[in-house]
Amino acid sequence: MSQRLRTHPLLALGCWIYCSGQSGGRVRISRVLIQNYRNFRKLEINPFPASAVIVGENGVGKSNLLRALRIVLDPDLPESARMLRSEDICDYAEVGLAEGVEVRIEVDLTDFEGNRKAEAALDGCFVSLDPLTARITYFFHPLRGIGEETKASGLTRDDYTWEVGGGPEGKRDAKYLRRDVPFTVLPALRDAVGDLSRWRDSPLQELLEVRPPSRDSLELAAQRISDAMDELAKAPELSEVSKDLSQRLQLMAGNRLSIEPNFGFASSDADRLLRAIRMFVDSARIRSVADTSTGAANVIYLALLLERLSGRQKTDSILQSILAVEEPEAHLHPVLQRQVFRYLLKHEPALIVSTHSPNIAAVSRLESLVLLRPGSDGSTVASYTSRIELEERQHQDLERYLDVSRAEILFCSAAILVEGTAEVYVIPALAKSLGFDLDFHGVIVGNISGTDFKPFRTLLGESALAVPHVIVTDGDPTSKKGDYIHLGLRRAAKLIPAPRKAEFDMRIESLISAKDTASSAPLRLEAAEADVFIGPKTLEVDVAGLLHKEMVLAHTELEESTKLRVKFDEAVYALRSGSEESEVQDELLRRVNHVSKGRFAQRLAAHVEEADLASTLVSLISKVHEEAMDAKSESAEERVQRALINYAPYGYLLAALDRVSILVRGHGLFSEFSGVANV
Amino acid sequence: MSDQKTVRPVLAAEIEQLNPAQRMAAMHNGDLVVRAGPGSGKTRTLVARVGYLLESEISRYRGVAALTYTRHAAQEIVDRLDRLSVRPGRRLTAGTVHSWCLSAVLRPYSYLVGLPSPDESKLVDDKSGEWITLLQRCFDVAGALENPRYEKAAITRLRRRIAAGYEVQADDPMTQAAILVDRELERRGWIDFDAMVSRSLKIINENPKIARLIVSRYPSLVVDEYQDLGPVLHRLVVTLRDEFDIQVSAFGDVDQAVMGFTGAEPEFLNELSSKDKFETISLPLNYRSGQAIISASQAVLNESRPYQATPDREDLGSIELAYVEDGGLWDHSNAVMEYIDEFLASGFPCHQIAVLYPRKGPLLDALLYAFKQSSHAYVHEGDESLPRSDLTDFIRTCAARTFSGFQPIGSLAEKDASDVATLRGISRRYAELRRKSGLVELESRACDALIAEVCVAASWGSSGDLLSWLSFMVETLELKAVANASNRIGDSEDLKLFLDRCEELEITFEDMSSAAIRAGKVTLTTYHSAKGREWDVVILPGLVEGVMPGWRWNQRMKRFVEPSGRQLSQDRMAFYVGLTRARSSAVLVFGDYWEGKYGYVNRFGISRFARDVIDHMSAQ
Repeated sequence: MSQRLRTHPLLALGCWIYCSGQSGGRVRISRVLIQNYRNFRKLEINPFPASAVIVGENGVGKSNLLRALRIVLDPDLPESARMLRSEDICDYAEVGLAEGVEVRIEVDLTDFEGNRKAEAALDGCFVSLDPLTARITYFFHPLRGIGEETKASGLTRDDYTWEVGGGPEGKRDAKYLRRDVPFTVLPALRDAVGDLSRWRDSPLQELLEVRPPSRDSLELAAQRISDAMDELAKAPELSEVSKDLSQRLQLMAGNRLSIEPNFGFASSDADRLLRAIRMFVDSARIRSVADTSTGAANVIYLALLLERLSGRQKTDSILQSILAVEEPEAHLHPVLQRQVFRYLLKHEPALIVSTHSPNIAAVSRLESLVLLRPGSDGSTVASYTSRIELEERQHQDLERYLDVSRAEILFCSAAILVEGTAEVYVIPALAKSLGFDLDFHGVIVGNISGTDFKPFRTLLGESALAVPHVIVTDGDPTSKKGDYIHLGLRRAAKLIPAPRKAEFDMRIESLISAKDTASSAPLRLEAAEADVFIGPKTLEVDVAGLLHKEMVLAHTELEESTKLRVKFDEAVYALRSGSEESEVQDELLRRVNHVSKGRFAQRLAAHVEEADLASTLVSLISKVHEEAMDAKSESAEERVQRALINYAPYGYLLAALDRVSILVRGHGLFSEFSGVANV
Repeated sequence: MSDQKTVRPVLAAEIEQLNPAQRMAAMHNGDLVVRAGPGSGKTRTLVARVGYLLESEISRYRGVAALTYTRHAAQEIVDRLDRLSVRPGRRLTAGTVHSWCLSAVLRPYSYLVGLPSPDESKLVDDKSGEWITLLQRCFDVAGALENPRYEKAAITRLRRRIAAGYEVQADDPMTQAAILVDRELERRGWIDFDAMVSRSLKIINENPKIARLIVSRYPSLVVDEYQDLGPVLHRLVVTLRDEFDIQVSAFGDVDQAVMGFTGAEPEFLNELSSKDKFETISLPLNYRSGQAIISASQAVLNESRPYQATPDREDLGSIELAYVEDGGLWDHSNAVMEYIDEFLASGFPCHQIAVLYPRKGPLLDALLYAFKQSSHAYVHEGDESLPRSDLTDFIRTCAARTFSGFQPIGSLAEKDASDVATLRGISRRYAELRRKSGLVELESRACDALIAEVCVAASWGSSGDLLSWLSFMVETLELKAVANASNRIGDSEDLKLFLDRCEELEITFEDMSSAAIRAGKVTLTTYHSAKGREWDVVILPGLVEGVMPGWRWNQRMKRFVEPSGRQLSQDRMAFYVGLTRARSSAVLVFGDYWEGKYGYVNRFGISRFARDVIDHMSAQ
């Protein structure tokens, strides 16, 4: 994937030079700011990706983002649509239409330096020389009386006006620019078959009108059609029908209606013939577009549209279009989705796509992603990856991760990142048995197949996609030789924010030198504050205290040797009763590996889902309860976290789920069990 | 929607920032005279008024005609309105009086009253050889013995008075010649700028229906520099207003009527002022000069005016009196150089210093000599050093844009980039030039690309060499072909002269753009050309009777004679204009005598204007 993507810019450039034959770059959007329009109280996407893939749940405002861009740059949008209505004003704006709201949409354009035509067209709108950037701003604001305060209430649309201006303060007239850099949206709910069959709505019309067949061949064809129709009319059956009809008309309407019924199949007028041209989808001209699948019709429609835009560009009637395709996945099966989308990415340098499809999100470049989601006040905010800096290797890791169908991370409400398959099975099951259905709440458990969480933290962090997430990892305190190394804490150290990191590193060092005389719990608790949840040892060992019954059941189903079953059961129960023997831990892991770690986790999950863990947890819950009641300065949530991590080896998993529960459900994991409120 | 008059927020904010008098002028409902002294923010007020009229007073199907003295001023109105988000399109016609007469009267209506279309006429400039030849012929027929070359202003004044219906001495050969000029132009199918206005007035006088159509389209007429616009336009304005109810807003300053030699009279503005239902508003605040300079300038006028410096201004400005004792104009010029040294040393930049002279003659010769001897960089905007025409203005505009870079950020101007055209705008002007010359029309984007090629190429930056840029642009834009085929007589010669002068005078990008942005040099220019501009420091040398005010040589009496009342008041206004250009310092260099062409000493004493200032200062 990464290899293909790295060649992409060159290919795109090559194509473009072929397309329009001029030197210099191509215009693209480099920043967007929307204020008080529809879903957006204040949405800024800066930098705006060269090709943008906009993802987000239904109703979050993907189409409205495109609509906002149309207001600034679509020449086909009627002027009346720029005079906004009350329903266009963001519900979360500080004031509404009646109180004098101001709507602003700013679009920055860049990448055209050296393209003389574009430089000339955009002169007067420049806001930066390096890179050369032009800004167009749409304002919608109330008219004002002079020397009077703006009226505070009771305003209607008639009291408003709008402008489109260029430059830093938007003071140069820039309305004309939408004819130079038109923004075209291919809507999601389109009737491709219908549009193609009506001449006036079909993109074919302009294509043929711009490049019509020669007059000679049109006239020749018209003559031949006329001849053919004459030939047909000679058939006695037809002339009978026409004679009968003629007589009936004569009787019905007399001579006053002069109609000569005649039969044919196309106009024999050369000019009308052009409009009679239809598209067929096979060489025998039997199947029309209507006879193909909706999917094929949509691809044809898109192709015609692109062809039309490229035609306009070639004839210089426009400088360059910026194309947006809403939900290209509509009516297309996944393989075709990827194929079409890859083509668009390669050939349209200023492309915007909005999508629900993980298939499309998966083939998008990381820096193309723009994630729309509701912000804290309810209005939509954007998170995107174009700002983050990653090393090439990390970049590749992330793209590979997204490519292998895990793009759902973009559509989730929260993510739990784990290092292996076992956690992927066990964590959702554990949550479910505690009454927290992760699927239902849009929480995904993502297996990063490794322990380098850093790039994922960057990707999901506040400065990029801003997806709420926690990281769950093993403690791995000792090496195979038995030396203390605390790998889990080391991993966490990389994720701790800079001001606290140095101290955290030092404390790991002293923990290592203390060997077995000190507990790792205080450090693990601190890591949890940074959303990194570390087990004391290894998943299977740590959960034995809680899931012993289910572990035994799962192992029994997989292990045929009675002798080995006994060994496993002994190890589980030793751990349950608090054994710290490394021999016991090793035995347990040997047994699990013997039946395959993955299969064991699958079986275990099945049993855990059905288990009643509440009774097992009673004593822990009551401890949590006591802690939570303890009147100290920290919050109830912090006290719950501390109790969980301090009192049980499996507590870190519960603590992670508690954190996620608060994020997506608004309350902690145990509030339903014992009334421990997270106040 | 309420009855309250509302406008776009940007315009509302602008009007609120005006001072009370300016705001009253901008929002007055009815006929209006605005008396705008030096530095009073006249253009700003005028632009606000035009914006206000368009936005809230006039039906959106009708418009405003804004008439200015120069094309540049008209463009300034459109540009400033654009920055206030007022983009009226066809509703606003901003242009010179001639261009408005052409586009609003002659083009649409000539055909309807049986006159030839102005576009079929050949446009002759009164500076061209053809025009002078025509004038010579008229002189011959009328029996006028004067040399037509020196009587252009007199003829213009007479033609205007005749067209405006004033009584003239019918038996005077000069009057006869003036009448003949218009007849001869018509007979040959030619038209000049004055004829555009006088023919328009004729159409309006003879066809009330057409006058009503014009007023339907432009219910409001805004006129800038009213005092300089002459009797024909005045008649036209009064007719449209008195008989057809056009609303008039006239902006001007009777003290700055420097175009009197063409028949313009400050009285026209006073006449409007005294008409029924005309409101007169004076703009009293002078945003430019310190109080010392304002007071001194009023002493020169010998009349009291309500002008004052802005109240928050601390520096009074200074008037420096430099008496050249027992010295002539050469000594004046040396004193000027010393003053320039001092001002530079105290931190004023070169381009903030101007040296003004009244007219060609011994003073200019001495100043040029002194400048050449000195180390000062200067630009001499001699009235005719670079020929002016649509085509040469176009070249200057290109140079200014090339020099300034991408708009609106790339700008070397001190205030804002308002004067720098955009590539699109230049491209449209170029297309218009080509169209007028009948050259093959270029597809608009190809035209854009060509202009961008000329004005953007990185090598033509401020360090670029103007001359090679000029030859590149003339070549690329086929300007020689444009000039050759132009319908304006003399374009080809003007272009050649323009290019030769640039080479001869070693003109740089800065100089070339100086009409649009300030140059990095001391400005040497005439009192007339200084109008409408400002500098930190203005130096006025040669304040000797005979030079300023000028005395005329009387052939019969074989001596210089004192100027007549009108000539004197002309020079007084010019001096007033010069003095009021200064923001912080005005230097008056005066003496007792001057040397004539052959070294003959003329001793008529210190200039009376300088004496007025000296008396005023010693009285304080």
